[in-house]
Amino acid sequence: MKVDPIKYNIQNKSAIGLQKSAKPSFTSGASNIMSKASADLNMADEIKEFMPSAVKGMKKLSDNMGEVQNIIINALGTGLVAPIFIKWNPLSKTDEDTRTYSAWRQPVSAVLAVVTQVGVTIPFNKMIEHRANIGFYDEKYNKTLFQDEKFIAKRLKKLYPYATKKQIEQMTQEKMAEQKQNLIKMIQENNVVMSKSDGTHVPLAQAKYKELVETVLQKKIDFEQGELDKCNNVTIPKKIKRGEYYRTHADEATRIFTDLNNKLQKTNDPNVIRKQVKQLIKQHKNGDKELLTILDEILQRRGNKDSELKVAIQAKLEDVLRDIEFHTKFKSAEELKQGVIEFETKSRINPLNESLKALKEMKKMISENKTVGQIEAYLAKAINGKEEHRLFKFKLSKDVAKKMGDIVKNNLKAHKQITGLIVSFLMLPISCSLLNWCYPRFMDAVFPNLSSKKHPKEIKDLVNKANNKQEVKS
Amino acid sequence: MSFISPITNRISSGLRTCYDYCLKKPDLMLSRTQILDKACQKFQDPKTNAAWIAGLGVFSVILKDGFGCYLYVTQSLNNKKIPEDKRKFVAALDLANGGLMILLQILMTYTISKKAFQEKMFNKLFGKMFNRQTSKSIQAIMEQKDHLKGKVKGNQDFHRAFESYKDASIAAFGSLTALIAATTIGKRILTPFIATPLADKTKEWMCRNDKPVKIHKDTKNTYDTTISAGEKAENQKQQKQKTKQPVGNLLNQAIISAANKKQHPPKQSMGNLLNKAIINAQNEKQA
Repeated sequence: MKVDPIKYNIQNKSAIGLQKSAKPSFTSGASNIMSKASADLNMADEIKEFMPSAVKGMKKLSDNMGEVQNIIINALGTGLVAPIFIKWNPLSKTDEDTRTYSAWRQPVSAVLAVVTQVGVTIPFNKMIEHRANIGFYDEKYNKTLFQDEKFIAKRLKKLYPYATKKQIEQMTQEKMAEQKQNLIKMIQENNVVMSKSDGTHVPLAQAKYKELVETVLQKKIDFEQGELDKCNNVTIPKKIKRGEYYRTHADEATRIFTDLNNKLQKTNDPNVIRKQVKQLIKQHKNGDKELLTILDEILQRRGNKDSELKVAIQAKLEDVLRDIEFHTKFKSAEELKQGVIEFETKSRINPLNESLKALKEMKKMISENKTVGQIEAYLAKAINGKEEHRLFKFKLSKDVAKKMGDIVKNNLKAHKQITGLIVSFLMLPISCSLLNWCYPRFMDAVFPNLSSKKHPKEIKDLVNKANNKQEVKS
Repeated sequence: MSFISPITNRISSGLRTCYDYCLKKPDLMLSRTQILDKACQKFQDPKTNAAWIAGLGVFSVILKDGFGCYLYVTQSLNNKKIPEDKRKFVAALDLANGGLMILLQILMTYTISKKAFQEKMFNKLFGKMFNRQTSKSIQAIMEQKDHLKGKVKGNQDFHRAFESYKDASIAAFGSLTALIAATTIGKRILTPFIATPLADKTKEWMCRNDKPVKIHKDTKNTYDTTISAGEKAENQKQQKQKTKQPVGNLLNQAIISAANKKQHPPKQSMGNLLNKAIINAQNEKQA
């Protein structure tokens, strides 16, 4: 299918073929991008320092667990663990020699598994990724609009073989930002056009595109609706219950939490407070359940260092003291209930309703064939620069771009799974034959005692004997 | 050199055609099949379609490991390079291993490796690290930093980042449990542990109609780290040579041994000495 580049406003020529510029800028663009990126707060990086060390470890593990690592760990299990349970198995009645002989099959098969899997399955997966990046497949697997960082870096390396590693990195960042910008622009204009490996362009069908934008909006609507329901059904009743405790036990609550707060101010060891909280739980074992819940919440506060734990407990105590002050103002349960509802309506329910109203209007605009750009303009008008608006940071085009990337990523996952199944199935006769060929030869060479292979000296004698006989005959 | 270029051209075009027909076209065709369409659809929402994805995994295990097991068993049985007395045990172990591995993997798919089960286990073990109080603690601590003051509390980006840590931790926990429970304990400890005695039974069943198999003289319980099979064979050869000596030699040996016996009478066993003592005592009594 031919696409008119003017009609579809195709500007992302760089997406498919990175053109070599006469004077490549190695610094300017990249530094702009860097400074822009650093201006935006990267919460994922900021939060890292404060996460519990076990979580940090798990995140590191998750980031580093690749296919090769999985194959190697699996092979280590096969090669090192399994033979032990074959050779030294007290339940088996077969003689030790036969068991030892069979046990050695495991490490041989593990080495062959690594060779065949790393040598075939991974290159196949890489091939699929590469083909998706160049636009070889249909639009379902087309990654030309969000090519991988590694793919771009590889292409740039080919284009500029003499550029340093740092320069390639900078150019890659620049290209990635350019690619992102192009995609956002296309989404805003409702003209998403993908490139194909044969040089042609394929626009994303309007019906599909509309469905995609609607899905993104619906997801956001569902999230906001969920928050509203949670506020009405969980938060408000919980706050009323707690407020009622503060109102009816004002003296007890004030005494306990002011005392804890004062003690915390004086010490640098928050564990002293934790101990006291534990004692208080024991003391009030048969007391009000709400008090026990609050004390337990204090115990649940965390911090990697004592100073951080102190800050976390301090914040909780301040919240509790503020809530006590707020709720003890009410004279009756009914008054408190009204007060809490009024407060929550003002602080949460109204913003949520406002957000939902805007989102529903945006969804309606899609059916009216409005572009994403127009929808975003409507939202900007609705927000009117108010930072406290729940949708202040919501960018429809950005979310649509992310969704598009996720769809292709999941499709490729399915593609890899099925291809992996077929490839490994086809590889089985080869790997089995390879094992059957290698294993007895390996045993003959390394453990002649276990295999029936004759000793080299014996073979030599036999060969000499045979030669002598031949000589006599002739 | 001009004659080389047509040859290289022909080779490269041949390779290209081979690549096109063996890899490129089948791959493109596969990407357009209905089964892949269905798989793509299911993979879009892995949480809702967890059962379908697990089913695909089970199907893959049965197909791959089942076929692999069949190949290993038949090839081991027909592999002349494996000693005959060990061949059936190797094949039986392959069969028992393959069968158990399939069963165990199916079991793991629906238990330990199941996402819902892993999430439950994760929440029990690490839930405290991701609850509301932890989130509030981190927010309070972050707010203490100058560059983050007023930017963390109520920020949706914070909750997104916090959730992403939770997701990554669940993924890591999932692969760890799968690795330890399914891959190492299940596949590499339990399977061979059960498979080895099971292989004894399988071998017995395989040999039910066989004539007794002669165990190779050099390999029957000779796994000896001090002496090799070759040396053993040489010793045996020497012993045989000693026994197969000519008649003249035998006569000489008989004379020598008779002379030796006179010089060093053979040691008598305790039993014989006792018998002699009893007989002597009886003789004395009779006298």
